[in-house]
Amino acid sequence: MHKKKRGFFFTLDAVMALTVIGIGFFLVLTAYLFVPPRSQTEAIAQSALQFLSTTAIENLNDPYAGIGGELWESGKISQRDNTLLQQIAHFEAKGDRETAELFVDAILDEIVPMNYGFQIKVNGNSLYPLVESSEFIASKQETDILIAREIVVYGVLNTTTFEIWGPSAVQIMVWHE
Amino acid sequence: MGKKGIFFTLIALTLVAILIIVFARTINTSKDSGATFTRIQFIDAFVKDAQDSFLPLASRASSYRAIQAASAYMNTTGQFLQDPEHDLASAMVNGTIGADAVMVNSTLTNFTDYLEILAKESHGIDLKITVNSARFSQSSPWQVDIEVNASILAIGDVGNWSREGLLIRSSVPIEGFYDPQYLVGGAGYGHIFQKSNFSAGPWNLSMLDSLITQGEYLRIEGSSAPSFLERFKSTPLSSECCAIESTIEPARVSPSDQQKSYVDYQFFADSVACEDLYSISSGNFPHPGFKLDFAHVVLYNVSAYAQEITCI
Repeated sequence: MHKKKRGFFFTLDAVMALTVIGIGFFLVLTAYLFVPPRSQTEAIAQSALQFLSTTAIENLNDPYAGIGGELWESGKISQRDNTLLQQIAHFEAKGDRETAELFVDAILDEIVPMNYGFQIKVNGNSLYPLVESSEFIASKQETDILIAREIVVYGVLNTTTFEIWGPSAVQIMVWHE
Repeated sequence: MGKKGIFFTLIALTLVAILIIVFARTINTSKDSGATFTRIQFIDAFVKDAQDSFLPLASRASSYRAIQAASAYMNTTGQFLQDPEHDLASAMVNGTIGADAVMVNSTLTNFTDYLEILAKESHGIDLKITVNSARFSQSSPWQVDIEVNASILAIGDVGNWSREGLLIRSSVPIEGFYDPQYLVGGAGYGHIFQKSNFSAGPWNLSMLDSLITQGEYLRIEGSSAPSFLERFKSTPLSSECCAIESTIEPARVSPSDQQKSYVDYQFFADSVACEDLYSISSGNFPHPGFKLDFAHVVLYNVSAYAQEITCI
């Protein structure tokens, strides 16, 4: 009879111990359970920044924004070695914010996947989108994770006179919609 | 035995609790060190970019504007610069020549200030770029070399970055600037530096006509002409490496027929005696009054059209 009781307590003890260990690990791991979406958004933001700040116009294959494209033919883009981010801020420096928005719109598929929101600001002014709609604001406000990245860019406004624009602070924001 | 059991259970619970705490801390620590590493990489890249990309760009932009500003200053005051290398460097870094402000918002200090402000506002980096000195020189006739000695100090939340005695080198082509000798030296009109496509020769009268009309500049080996930088001085010296010269169109100066060589530096210095001048004339040569010294008559291969002049 004593042996039977002892066995019961040992079993109970083992169950309790396993429960405690289980709860402990559950608590620790659940703290990081929501990491994947966050790290995914972070990765997308980082990748967007990387793409925009390292891809030169001459390496962009786009019928609107690339070499030989509409903007190139119309003379709105003339510096082939500008990075995409420099080109966006360059438009802002020249006061051509509408073209900046169209430029970002043309390459948006390359920047962020669907179901992700994206905004770009230069010196605090939103260039993409130029006008923030109520849906856009709501999407940004209601998201759980919004990742913002900021970078300083500058460039040459006139290659003959070496007139420069900037430095300008460019901020990109990515969030899960 | 029953009492021992509860102690064993408590010990087990304590060990598990310690295990969980240590595990959680390890994850947090590795996450923090990852963030720190990223931050270090970011500031490191920022400083490197400021050093390798921003400073050369800003240096070139401000030196270009300094040359423009110095020409405008000379045109306004009618005075040459005492020490062009020093004065241009002063205009580039501080926007001043002597006590006079000649340039605003485009000095090298302005540009570095902008970057310092943005570094603080956007990235929380206390950036300080100090321009220790700047130097203008020439090693080629058609461009000005600029060497800036600068230091960078960046203080971030994860460490300090210090770069001392950085030598930032850039160059600016002289084409497109006004020739100070023409502005202040007595020609009375603005004349822009343009490189001639004509080579050393063989020359003929038609080419000389084109050179005068276009107002282009030539590099002639062994010439006593001054360099671009020397042209900011009232008495420019000849330059071995970088001498360039142009010819003055008689119709653009008053009076058009002067007893001078119309090679620019000889005209401004009045350095050729009347007895050594030759008038160039021909039915196909539309520059009455144009004169050269003997060396240039030979150089341009126009001795067949050269006549000694009567000195008054």
